Amino acid sequence: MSVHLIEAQLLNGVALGSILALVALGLTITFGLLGFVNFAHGAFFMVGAYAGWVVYTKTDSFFAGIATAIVFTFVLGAVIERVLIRFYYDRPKEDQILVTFGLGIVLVESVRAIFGGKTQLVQTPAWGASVVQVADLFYPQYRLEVVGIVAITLVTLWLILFKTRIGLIVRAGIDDALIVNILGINVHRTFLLVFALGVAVAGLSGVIDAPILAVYPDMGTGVLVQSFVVVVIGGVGSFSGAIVGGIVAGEIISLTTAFAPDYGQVMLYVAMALVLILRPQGLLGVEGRA
Amino acid sequence: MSLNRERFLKTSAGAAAGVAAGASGMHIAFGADYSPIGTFPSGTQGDSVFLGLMCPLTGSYSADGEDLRRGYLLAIEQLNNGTGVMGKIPSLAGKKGVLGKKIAYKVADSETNPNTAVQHATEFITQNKAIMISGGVASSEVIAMAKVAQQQKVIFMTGASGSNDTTGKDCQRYSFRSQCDAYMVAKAMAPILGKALGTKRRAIYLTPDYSYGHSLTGSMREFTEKLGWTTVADVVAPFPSTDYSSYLTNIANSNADTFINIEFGNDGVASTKQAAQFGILKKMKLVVPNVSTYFPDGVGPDIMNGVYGTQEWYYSLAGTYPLSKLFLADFQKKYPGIIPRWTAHIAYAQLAIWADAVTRAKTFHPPTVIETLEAGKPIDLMLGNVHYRAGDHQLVRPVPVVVGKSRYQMQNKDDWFKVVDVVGANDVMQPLAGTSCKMPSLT
Amino acid sequence: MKLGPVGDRSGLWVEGAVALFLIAFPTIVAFLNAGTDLATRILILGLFGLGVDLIFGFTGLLSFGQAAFYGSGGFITGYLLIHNIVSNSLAALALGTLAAAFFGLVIGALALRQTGVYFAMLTLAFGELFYFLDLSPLRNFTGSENGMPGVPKPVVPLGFTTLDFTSSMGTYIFVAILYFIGFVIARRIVRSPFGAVLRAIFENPERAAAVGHSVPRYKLVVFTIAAAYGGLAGGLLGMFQGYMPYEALSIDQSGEIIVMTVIGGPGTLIGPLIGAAVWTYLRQELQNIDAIAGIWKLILGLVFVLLITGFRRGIVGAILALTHRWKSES
Repeated sequence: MSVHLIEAQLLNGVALGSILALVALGLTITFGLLGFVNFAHGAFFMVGAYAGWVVYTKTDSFFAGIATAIVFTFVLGAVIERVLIRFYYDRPKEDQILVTFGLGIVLVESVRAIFGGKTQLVQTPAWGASVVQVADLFYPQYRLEVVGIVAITLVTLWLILFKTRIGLIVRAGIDDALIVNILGINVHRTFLLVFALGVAVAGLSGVIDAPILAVYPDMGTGVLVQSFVVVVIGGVGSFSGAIVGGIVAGEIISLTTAFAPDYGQVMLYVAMALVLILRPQGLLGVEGRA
Repeated sequence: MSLNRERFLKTSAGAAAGVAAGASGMHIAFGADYSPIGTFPSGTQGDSVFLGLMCPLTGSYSADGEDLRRGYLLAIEQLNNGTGVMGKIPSLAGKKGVLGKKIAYKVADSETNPNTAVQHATEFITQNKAIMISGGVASSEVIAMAKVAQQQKVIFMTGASGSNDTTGKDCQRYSFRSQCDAYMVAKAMAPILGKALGTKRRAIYLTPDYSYGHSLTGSMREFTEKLGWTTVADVVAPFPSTDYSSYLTNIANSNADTFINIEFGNDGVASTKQAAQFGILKKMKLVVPNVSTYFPDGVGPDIMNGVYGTQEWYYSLAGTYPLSKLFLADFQKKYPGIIPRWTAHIAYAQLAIWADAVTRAKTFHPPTVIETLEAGKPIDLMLGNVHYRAGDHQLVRPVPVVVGKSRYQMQNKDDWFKVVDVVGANDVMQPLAGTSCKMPSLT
Repeated sequence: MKLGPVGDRSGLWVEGAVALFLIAFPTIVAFLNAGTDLATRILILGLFGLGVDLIFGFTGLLSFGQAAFYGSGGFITGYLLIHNIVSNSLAALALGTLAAAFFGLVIGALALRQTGVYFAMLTLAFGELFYFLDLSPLRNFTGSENGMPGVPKPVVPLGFTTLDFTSSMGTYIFVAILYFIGFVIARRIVRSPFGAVLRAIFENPERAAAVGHSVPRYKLVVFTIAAAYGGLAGGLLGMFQGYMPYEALSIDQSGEIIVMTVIGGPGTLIGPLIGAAVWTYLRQELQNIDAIAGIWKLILGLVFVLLITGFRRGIVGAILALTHRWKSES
């Protein structure tokens, strides 16, 4: 076990972590801001990947694919919110879990019905295809770029939520919907925006991940569980928590793999259980948000 | 006087037997005795016999399952009409159905899930009185169904299964496996790899942590090391995995020059794409010993170019084997615009081999059919003459070794490979002594 | 809209009705052109669901990790029988059930520190933990992705004679007897003071605690009981199939039993049985219709979503609510 290898795994943990963080970010938006649990998160991730793939294949532009994924999943999220989700804000959390669980199945099977079960080809875009040297390590350029994309997404979200009027309304609406309503502002539209935004981030993470993973209808299942783990470790309701949780999860997986590959996955769940027992609100979470 | 009495007795006995046979609907070859076992003779009473087919239509192998299903449907249609490759088989020529019975069937979705496959297989046997079951696109599914077949005494013609164990420690008397196993794949590839890539290479393996993975890695190592290759490391990844970065980091930082990826299906696609991103494919030559049905589509021609591997069957063999040509033509007629892959070939071939054995045995009685198959009379199909061997129920057959084409060489969206060689059965079969198969009994 | 269990059905006629149903079930199933085996499979899921209903339908605990108990009970029972450590089917089942209950105790002690969504996520994580443990580190015991074949059918030696349940109908009878016992026990639990507290906890945990009940302890007990039900059902699954699959530990399995409970009706005890019947039967029949065979799961998913939105009480719950209203109106 060389130092060099450990360094390599540490770097990998950060890159892997940012991918995980991006996925968790979408979940944090809906869960942290709305208190709504979206068990269809993995399915939206997959829809984003497919939307991006369709456009990327037609236009040869990965940027077009990314843009399409974001817009398509945003609109889809908005529609689903109007048609289904908004009836569930006042229902028990268990019902929210159940309906989004069913929704996830519907989305996955719909995609399979339309595109078949075949694995689709999404190639690494030309601007990410080479290997980069970081100190004495070689690492995929694309994965490092993903770190950058995650950073940009974070900044954008922060700007939206904290520097715009809409963001102000969103935050106020979360804190006290009644007052906001009395003030004459349409709270329901706010909820719609937040849900659609969370779904859009899920879709973004899907298209970003498409060159790395195999693109097929069930690709989101593993992602769903992992994103829960990250959110729980990092802290529910905290954006920085999603990032930190992601990095921590990435490092746990990478370093465990270096020493005991058999236990890579198991370690992650052990870590989550530990956090939930010792510090239930997560590493950076806000207490009281359940 | 006695002559007349003898004749009288004979004819009345014959009449009685005929009446009895007619009454119960059994076809007894006069003098032979087929005692009831499994779904025989209950499943052969009417004018049709039932085949239970398990294909994953949902889950991660749904594409392979679709291909498998298409193969089955074509085979059954041609069996019932006496057309196509089925019509060319000597025993079946000029006949419709099998032993005069129409083939009825149902395809159940095994959901890429051994338990669901077992569930459906059992239902087909107990409810539909299936006289034969077939299917599965993963060794785990197949091994589970083989056990059911053995328990229930119903013949199982396997779907896709590449693990050595299927005809090794998990062999069953009632199960017959046609796909080339890991040993055969490795033995076929090694000399070709040696010629194409040299004999002094340093190989590193990415192995999924389950029996198929270890099986194939073990066999590949055995034969490449004999060539002179060094195995730098065997990196084992949990099964299933989605992100391989930690394992690929290990691989990228090794001094190997050949990357042998044992991962299968979508795991294979993901790990190979990620390996490309890690620059591994620029530093090392990629070898994929067993290329799953839709693997090339998932990784694309730029990665597949120059990659050596095997395909259980490949459509360009239509140029070498007349029955492959006929199979390809009939398939495209039934499914316009779709080219069959090797899972469709397995489906068709297995049904052909079974139908031929039943016809030559003149009965559906499973032990008799099994003994007929074990007798090993060759049948000429899409890869020439093949036959089953009694010791482990592995089909004695050649292994097509292929190399990936570049995007400019591809003539259509399915034209992924050039066939380097079809390595003959004599050069690839594993000696029975080495298989650890202990065949259970017929009853 | 917090929905507690639907009313209180008194009298032995419920148990009698269930017993009659169990006797008639094979005939019903034959009438629908399916085999006895389908009935057995539905009963096993119904037994699994009894436990799930106790925690979800009566106490309001949504666990996405029940497959951990179903699977571990099944594997332990199967392992004991295959390797001849125990030859009595009932004894092996008892041990598997106890082991599952033990796991329930341990996981419950950890997971129940949380409520609501956190609790659901924790159970999901533990379920996955068991799943990965089965696939990799414990592969030599469990057969990993190949599962564990060779589990013998139920045989009960009684000293003076041996009861043989190996035929298709025999296995059904064995499972039906155990289901009935399980049902009666569950009903006793629900109608006891213990059950009343569970319902109180469902409706208002703070009030229940204020009155003096140790809410965490009640939750832990019912969670352990549910784990036991899961383990028993898992053991029966292995015997029934002659094969114990690794998928019994998967998220899909945990999700499926929840779906069945919701479809059938939480808080009714027989809800999971009805839900299992509907789901299993529909799944089979839909696949028989060629035109939609490939999208059976899509259709069932839509049905599920509609049910949750419109008929939150599930099939049985809706029927009971209707009869209740009809009774009170007359």
